[in-house]
Amino acid sequence: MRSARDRFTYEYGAQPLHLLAVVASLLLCGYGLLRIENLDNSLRIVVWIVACALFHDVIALPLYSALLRIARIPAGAALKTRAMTVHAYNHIRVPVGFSLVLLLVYLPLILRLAPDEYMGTTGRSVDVYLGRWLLLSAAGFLVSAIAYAITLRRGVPVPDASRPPASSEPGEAPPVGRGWRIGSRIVLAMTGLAVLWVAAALVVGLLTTGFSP
Amino acid sequence: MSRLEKLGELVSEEEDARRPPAPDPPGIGPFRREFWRSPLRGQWLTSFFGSMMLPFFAIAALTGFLSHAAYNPGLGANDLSGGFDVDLYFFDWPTQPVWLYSLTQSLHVIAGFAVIPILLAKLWSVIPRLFERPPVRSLAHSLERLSVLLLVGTSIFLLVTGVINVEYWLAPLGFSFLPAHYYAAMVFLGALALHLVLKLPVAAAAFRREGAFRPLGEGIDRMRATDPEVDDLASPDPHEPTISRRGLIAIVGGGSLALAVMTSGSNLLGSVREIALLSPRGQTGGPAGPGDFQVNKTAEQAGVARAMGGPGWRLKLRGGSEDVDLDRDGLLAMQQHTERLPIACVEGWTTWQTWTGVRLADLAALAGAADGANLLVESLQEAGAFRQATLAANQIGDERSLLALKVNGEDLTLDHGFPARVIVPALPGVHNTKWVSRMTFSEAA
Repeated sequence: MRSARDRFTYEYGAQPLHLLAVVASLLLCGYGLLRIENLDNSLRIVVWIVACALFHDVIALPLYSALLRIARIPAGAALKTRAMTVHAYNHIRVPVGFSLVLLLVYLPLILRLAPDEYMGTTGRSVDVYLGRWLLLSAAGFLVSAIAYAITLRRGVPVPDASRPPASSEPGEAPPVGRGWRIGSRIVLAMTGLAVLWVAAALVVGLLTTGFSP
Repeated sequence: MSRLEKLGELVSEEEDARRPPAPDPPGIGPFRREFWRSPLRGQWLTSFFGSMMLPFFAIAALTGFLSHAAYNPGLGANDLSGGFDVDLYFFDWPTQPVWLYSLTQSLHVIAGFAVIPILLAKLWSVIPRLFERPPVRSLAHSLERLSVLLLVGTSIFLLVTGVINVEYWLAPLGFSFLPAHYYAAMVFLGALALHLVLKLPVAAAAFRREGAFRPLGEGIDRMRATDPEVDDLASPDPHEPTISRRGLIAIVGGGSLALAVMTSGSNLLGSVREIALLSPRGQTGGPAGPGDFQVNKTAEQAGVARAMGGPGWRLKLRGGSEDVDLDRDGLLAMQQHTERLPIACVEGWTTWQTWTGVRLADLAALAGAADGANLLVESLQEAGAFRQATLAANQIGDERSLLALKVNGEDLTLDHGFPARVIVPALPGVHNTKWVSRMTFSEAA
């Protein structure tokens, strides 16, 4: 029997369990697609789904990929110059990214794409959002600029020259050290703050409303 | 050997000795592996982003199905999904706690908004796979790629349709939002299940290799590039890093947190709500007075004019032992009750107000409705999916369920449903029918 299984694996490209998992998954997907097919304008929905994947991979990804790649370290630069370059780039592209994500997520409001619908549904004007987005973006750049100024004043930390640069051959993993402990504490603290914030918002909401006589 | 490793062996693609690896055709552009030069890419980063996303998608899926249940799709014309023929719901949606729908639905929308930056980062981290060569290695591989297309397409589709639905920009859709979002979620979950089975072992191996959290401790000058021999996402020719992996994760996480805060803000009270600066329902202020709170669909848009609820208006109670017609004074002459209840919208926002009016249970008794009857509530609004809604017996029976005539001590404004509107605890917002004209009780339980 072993040879039959080998034969299957050879022809199919993976073990039988893979095929079982794939078939089970595609059947569920198929059911969803079948229901979509019964809806009005079903073709449009399917086109939308495929277009979402294509739009992301062909248009959106090169855009934000460029944002990450825009920073290039001058070849052969001194350590100090390299560190300066990194800081300058990051203090620009982080607020740019922040602003672009907000624009992406709130595009219909910021660009007033459906002002009548918004007014008809909410009874309010959609005009406030462009200004709010500009202000939030400005705040992002301001915070970044202040952080950059502080960094410059303190002096840009220069990496340890005795350490091989990060892009060299992969070596042994450094032992778990102070960096890891600090990093994990930062993550824990951020998570804790987020949980606290949500909890506080819920408690405030309930105290002021849910338990009224 | 751990269980995950075992699973990994059973579902991973086989490298068969009898089938030599396809010779690499000379690639161009992104089809060359060397094209991708970020030192951050690697299985660890992708696995980390994937693990970050999982709870968000789990919350969104669970609360999404709960929201469908909250509409009591088994009753009347409540089901807008186009007839889901497998009924998953064996319970009547409860009326307790009153903020139940506010909680589940705001979680749904918060999770959806918060996952957007993480999904973008995850897709960025894994993009070299799109250009892998050869494009199809085997039948197994081609099925996997088909499933990934569905996964990426539906995940973006769900987020895009969800976002533009809550921001009222429906023109580009050209189809009905609700059933498309609902069934696309089913396709998404099917593809996600396979992705988890195939990729959990890969992620577990990456975490074992590099330490689940250790790269978080590595700043830009300590960061080690991953071995491209072991890790097919790692660049064989990486640039010098200009940001650390933990730096990227912090930025993505920060963006996610900002969107979560902004989105949850539109469930808060008073001026705190303004932290939802860009959320469609964060705006407060406006014409002062007792009717100054969030409106869902103005009277103008619904086509309801003040005169329709004027002196000639009668509430028609039907389906009981006798037909009863009541004018507004007649309703005001009945025993009035005051309750503080939320309107929680499917779009993920909430507003709490103090409502005064007649208990639905009192109206049922007045009309002589049968025990356990359902109630079809119809509006003066002439068209639209939500000009009517059917309430279940437990919702009519709850003593906090009102046909409200006043809000915050004064007559309802026209936008909020004058002359009378339904308000039921934990009911999705649009089922609290405004401008009520007729209430029809079903014959029996």
